Formats: sequence, structure tokens, C-alpha cells
Amino acid sequence: MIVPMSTVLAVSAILFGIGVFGFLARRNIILMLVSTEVMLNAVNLSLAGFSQHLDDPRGQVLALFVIAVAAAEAAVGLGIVIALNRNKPGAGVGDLTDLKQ
Amino acid sequence: MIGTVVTQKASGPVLDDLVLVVPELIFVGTALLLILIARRIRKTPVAIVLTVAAAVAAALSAVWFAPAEPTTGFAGMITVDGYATFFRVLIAATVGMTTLLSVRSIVGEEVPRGDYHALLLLAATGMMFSASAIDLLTLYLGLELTTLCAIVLVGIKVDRPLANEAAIKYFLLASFASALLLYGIALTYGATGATDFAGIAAALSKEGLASAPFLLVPLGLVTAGLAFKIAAVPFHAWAPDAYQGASAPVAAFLAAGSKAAGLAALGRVCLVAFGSETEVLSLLLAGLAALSIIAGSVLALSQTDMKRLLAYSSIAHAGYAVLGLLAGTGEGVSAMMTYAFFYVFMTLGAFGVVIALGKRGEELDRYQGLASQRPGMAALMLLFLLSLTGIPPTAGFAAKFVIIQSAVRADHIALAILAVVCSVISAFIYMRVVVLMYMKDPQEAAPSRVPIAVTVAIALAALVTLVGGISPGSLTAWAVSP
Repeated sequence: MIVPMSTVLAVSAILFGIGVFGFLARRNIILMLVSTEVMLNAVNLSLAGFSQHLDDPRGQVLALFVIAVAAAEAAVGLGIVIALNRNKPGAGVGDLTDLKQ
Repeated sequence: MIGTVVTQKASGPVLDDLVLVVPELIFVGTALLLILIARRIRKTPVAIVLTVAAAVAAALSAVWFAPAEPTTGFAGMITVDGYATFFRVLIAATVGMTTLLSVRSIVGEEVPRGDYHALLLLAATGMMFSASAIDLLTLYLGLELTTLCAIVLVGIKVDRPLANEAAIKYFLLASFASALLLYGIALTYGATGATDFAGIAAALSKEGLASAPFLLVPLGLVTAGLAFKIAAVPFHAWAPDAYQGASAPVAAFLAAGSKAAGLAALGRVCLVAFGSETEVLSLLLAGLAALSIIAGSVLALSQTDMKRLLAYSSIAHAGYAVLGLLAGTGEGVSAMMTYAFFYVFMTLGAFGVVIALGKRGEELDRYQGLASQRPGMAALMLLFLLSLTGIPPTAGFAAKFVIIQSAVRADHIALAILAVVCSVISAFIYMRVVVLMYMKDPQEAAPSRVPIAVTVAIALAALVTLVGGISPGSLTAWAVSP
């Protein structure tokens, strides 16, 4: 059974919305990182869906690249979180207010 | 398959394509070499010499290997045309000058030198790819390579809490913005069935916004994602924090290189891919430009940290540069290119003086009496500040002139007036520094000697700023739109 395109689009839009909400509402750095991953996976889902719908492999190739970049992004992000935790243990986004006038 | 891809000789010799990316190959090769020998060259200036040599070689090869006709390569993923060559040379110059400027801050503090320069080179590779991308995939990969390397560069001093904070803020906002850009790319692909710019343009000319208002969503998302890269309001929040927390040479690299690459990508996307939707697009861009110019000029007024002040100034300048894209014509895009070129050199120059003065250069109040202690340095700062304001005979005036002219030609008279008014407001900001330098008595000892490399970089920036102001036409032959 092939899932209809509208369903795929709706699910990916909802997933993307969840990611955006999580990013804006959460104040824990790791959870914000997870929220952006949810957004990226919503993108991947829609890319795979479009690819199937258009009968064109391009979308799936793009999704593979997105997965690779997301892994690199997570590595960089977690590295910075570790460095931050060493200097300021347990800091959330709310505690990061040193860079102001 | 809806989108017919303009595939150039599917199984042609790969070597032909490799000639197109010689500057990028030089950068990647040097970066890999630096990572390989990073431990051995810890206490030597080898990394600096290699990076400057790579920048010069990349700039020369970008011109030398530039094909006479625009040539696409790698199955329609990139193109090398006058537009790409222009930005490649600009980006290579930025890398070279940033390396010269970072001589002191890297020597003085515990930064892994090989890694630092490898990251600079890889970020520049990403910038070059985003300038020559004609497919959303290459565009995304180029921008992402730039951003990821830039984030690490901002936080490279891992022991400093300020650098950590700047890096994490930049990282979170950058990954949010790239998710928006990606969703825009995915929806564009779904709506048009193509990821290459020509295919998208062909599909849009058949079924544009008028018949499919749904297209506004991908258009807006892609524009938002790219606006983040050039730090245009309302996607600017990361810039002041990242610039302030990063070391000054990294801030200079972000302000100059990152912005030039973002503008290059935005220019090509607006003109080629979404060229048929100029009306809606210019409405979006006009909003971005107006907000950036106003917010950048007004918020800079209250800053006391020099890097933060220059960050708000760079936000305003992003707004001015976007004015060139409003018309959606080649002429407007070449005005944007001229603006980007002169902006890069005057910003690198201003940051250069900040770097030359060391810790003293980072606080506005400590510029007091600089003119009597270091007349040469104060005069150079005066030149760069006049140029940033847009006063003749500096390059800043020439740049503002062509950009406002293009806004007037596109019938955005109100925006042109706004740009002029905000230039006057920004004069207050820049002249505040001049008043401190020339009309106050020194409060502290003269700054220590400036390394020769930093002087060379500042002199180069000053030369371009002066020559650009005296004969602005010398650049127009190069600034060709795609």
C-alpha cells in the first residue's frame, strides 16, 4: 500500500511544527538540539514523500545528505555543550547572559 | 520526472569538471595538510604562511582557470561564470587578510594553530561553493560547511566562557535557520519537481504564485534561511553575540566572508531560481532591507563594545546590499556585488584597526586620544569609518551610490530615502569614535607595536577603500550578474 502524498505532507508539517514549538518553548540546550533534529527529520520525511510522488530519486539523495549534515551538526553542537558545561556546569539558555551591554 | 535536468555530458571525463573547482581543491588540500601536520607546526608560523599562500593561489587560479563562457560541471551542480569568479576572488582575499590579521591573537593565546587555519580554509571552501551553486543541494551543502566551520571558529577558545556562550547561541540559531531553509528546499522540490535553479525557474514560469499561492511558503522559508546567513533583521539576533564572544579576527571573517557568501547565494537564488516571482520576492526583500537598515543603524547608537558596534553596522550594511536585489535585474545584482566587494574591504580594515590595538581596541571609551599617540592608526580608522558612513572620496560612497541608484531605478523611492536618512544616523555612530580619537586627551599609555602582518592587511584594505572611492568604475567590468 502506498501512503497518499497528502498524508505524508501533513505528517511532516505536524512534525516540523512540533520541532519549531520545542525549539521556541524549551530552555534546555540539549532539548533544543533535539527539537532541531525533529525539524530536520520532518524535512527528510517530506523529501522522501515527494521523491516517491514525483518518481524521481533526487529527493532521496537530498535526504541522505541532510542526514549526514545533521550528524556533523550534532557533533559540533554536543562539543560546544561539553565545553560550556566544563566552564559553567548545568547552564541552560536562560543563564547565558554574559554577552550583553 | 517533471524537472528536466540540464545534464552536461553524463559520462564525460571527470578531469574537465575538476578544473572548475581548482580554487576549492587548493583550499581543501591545504586544510587537510594542515590537519595532518598540526602537531609538528605548533610553535612555528608555517600554518600562517601556508594559508596565505593558499589564498593567493586560489585567487589567481580562480581568475586563471575561469572559462570564457559560463560552464556547468558535476552534472549541473555548480557553474563557473563571472559571478562565481568575482565572489571566489573576494572570498580568497578575505581568507588571506583574515590570516594576516589573526597573527597576534593566535600567537598570544593557546589556540591550536593548524586547526584554526584549516577551519578558515574549509569555511572559505563552503563559501566558494555557495557562490557557484546552481542546485539547491550544493547551495545547502556550501552554506552548511561554512556555518559549521564558523561556529567552531567562534568557540575555538574553549576555556573562555564568553566564547562558549557565543558559540552555543550561534549554533542554536544557525541550526534552526538551516532547518527552515531545508524545509523551504523540500517544499520547492515538491512543488516544482526540480532542485536545480534552471528547472525551478522553468516550472515556476509555467505555474507561478498567481495560480499556486502555496508557493509563497517555500519562497519565504528559503529567503528566511538565506537572510539568516547575511544577518538581516529579523534574523540577526546571533550576530552581535557571536562577534562579541569570538576573537576579533574571527568576527572580521564572519562579518566579511560569511556575509559575502550569503549575499552571493541570495543573489543567484533571487535572480535565477525565483526570477519569475520578482514582485513577491522584492516585497519580502524590501521588508528585510528596511528593517535591517533601521535596526542596524539605531541599535548601534547605544553600543560601547567595538565588536558589537561593528556587528550592528554589518547588519545595516546587509540591508543596503539587499537593496540591489529588489529590482530583480542583472544591473541591480551587479550593484549588490560592488557593494559587497567594497563592504568586505572596509569592514576588514575597521576590524584590522580594532585588532591592531589589542584589548584596547575592543572598547569604545579606550579610543580616547589615539590620534596623538598613534596618528597613522587613527587616520586609517578615520578612513574606514568615513567609508562605512559613505562619505566621498571613499569606496563606501561609491558603493552606496550605486546601490541607492539601483533602488531608485526599481521605483523604491521611499526605501532610497530611508537609506539616505539612516546613513546620516549611522554617521553619528562612526563619528563618535572619531571624536574620541581626535578631540580627547589620552587616558592610558600608547598601545604596543603592531605586527607587520596586521599592518600589511590594514594597508591593503585602505588601498582598496581609497582606489574604490577615486575610480569606482574600475570594478564594474568584473561585477557581472549571472
